[in-house]
Amino acid sequence: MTQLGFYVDTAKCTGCKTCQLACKDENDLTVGINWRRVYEYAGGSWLCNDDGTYQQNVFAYYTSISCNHCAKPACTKACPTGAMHKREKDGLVVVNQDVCVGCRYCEMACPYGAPQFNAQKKVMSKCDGCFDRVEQGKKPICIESCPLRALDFGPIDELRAKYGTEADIAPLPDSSLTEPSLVLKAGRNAKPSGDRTGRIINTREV
Amino acid sequence: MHELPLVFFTVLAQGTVGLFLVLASLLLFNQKPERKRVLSRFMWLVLALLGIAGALAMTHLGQPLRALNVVFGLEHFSPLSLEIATTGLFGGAVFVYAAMTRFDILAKLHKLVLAGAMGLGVMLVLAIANVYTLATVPTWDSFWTVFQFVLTAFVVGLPMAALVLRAGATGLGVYQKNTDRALATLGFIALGVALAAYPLYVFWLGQVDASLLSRFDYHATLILTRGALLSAGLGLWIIAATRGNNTSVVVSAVSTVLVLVAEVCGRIFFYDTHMLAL
Repeated sequence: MTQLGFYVDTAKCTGCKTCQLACKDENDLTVGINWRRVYEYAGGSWLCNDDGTYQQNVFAYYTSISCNHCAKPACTKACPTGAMHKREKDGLVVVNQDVCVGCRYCEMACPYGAPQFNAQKKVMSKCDGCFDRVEQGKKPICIESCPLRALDFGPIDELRAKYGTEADIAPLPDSSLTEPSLVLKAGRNAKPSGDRTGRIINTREV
Repeated sequence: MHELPLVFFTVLAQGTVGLFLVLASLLLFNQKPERKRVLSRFMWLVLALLGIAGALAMTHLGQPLRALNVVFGLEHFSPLSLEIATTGLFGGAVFVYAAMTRFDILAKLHKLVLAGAMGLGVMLVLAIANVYTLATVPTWDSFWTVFQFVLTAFVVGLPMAALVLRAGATGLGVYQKNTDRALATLGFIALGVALAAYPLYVFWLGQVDASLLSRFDYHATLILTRGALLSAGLGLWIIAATRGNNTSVVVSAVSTVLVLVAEVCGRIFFYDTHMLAL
């Protein structure tokens, strides 16, 4: 089985959210449903120098996250119906909306906020890795829309060979929890997972 | 908040298990047929309360008509499927016991079925806690979740049991009065544990994430309201009961309502503390 996954270059990302909007457009998502979310992580304070002058170390960076199609997904483990499942052939985690009961337990369990409740259909929805596009040999719409070329998608082995294995950057959780199929590139301000010096500042957006 | 049906379900289900365990303990160590007749009648009330709790939980589903799909999750031990299955098994066992005693079927097996139902009741409280102790939710993945859910079974179950006995078992005379006093003593201990442990829980939450407690401006009010209502509710009944008033239905009813509201406040706070490790 190949496992497909995402690469996110947090050094390049400017937080423009074109990926998020392209995803909404392609998948016709209403307000309140974001299959891809851009978390803005920021912090910093004043530091006192030896000579009594002050200097700030304010930082901000962006992590664009959809679903990481984890090797050990918390959502499928939680799901009481099996509607949330991992596809055999490409490892994508998708939800069968004909089986889902809309209990929202997957939403509670996923540490990346990937499962999104569709209030009209009363069932869960989430990033499906644009598997229809992938089958046509294209990349997911978020990847192709990125003006900074900060995103990539493909078999996770190839992504790891090309970009490394980093996946533990704040505000994302420790990758040992779900083993996400995700490779990150750290920017110069990147903080490790579990960092408490900053916080997500666009909470109403994600 | 969309979890409100779950707030009511968890509080009511835990309280009902508490009520059942009190009644079942009395039945288990009882030899007199008259007491057994009166006490086992209350099992229908336990079933009704459990039914209401279950119906409330159903309203949380986006697609309640597909509810039976939850059996598929048993295959991979989904905590939610296990919780729902345990609720069903517990309700089934209570029903079997109620029916057996009502129609006097296989009298020698009554206590065995009752003990089985007690075991399932305890398992139900633990199964509910198991749903929320998720490794990916640091504020829930702790002993405090189990502790709170077990405590609810006590602080709701005890005054509810006293109320039920005052309302429907006064015919048992001094037995009802003595039971009421014993329940009040247990209630006093439960209140002490609740009041001592809750500040520790809130301190612990602050350790997990210092910003958590300032995220909602009504949280301080919610926590204090819970403490005040719990103390007032249990206190009213305990003080009256230990001073000799073991029959007033009104006092017990007011107590039970106050405690239920207190636990609902506490549970709303619990659901609000949901945070992603993110």
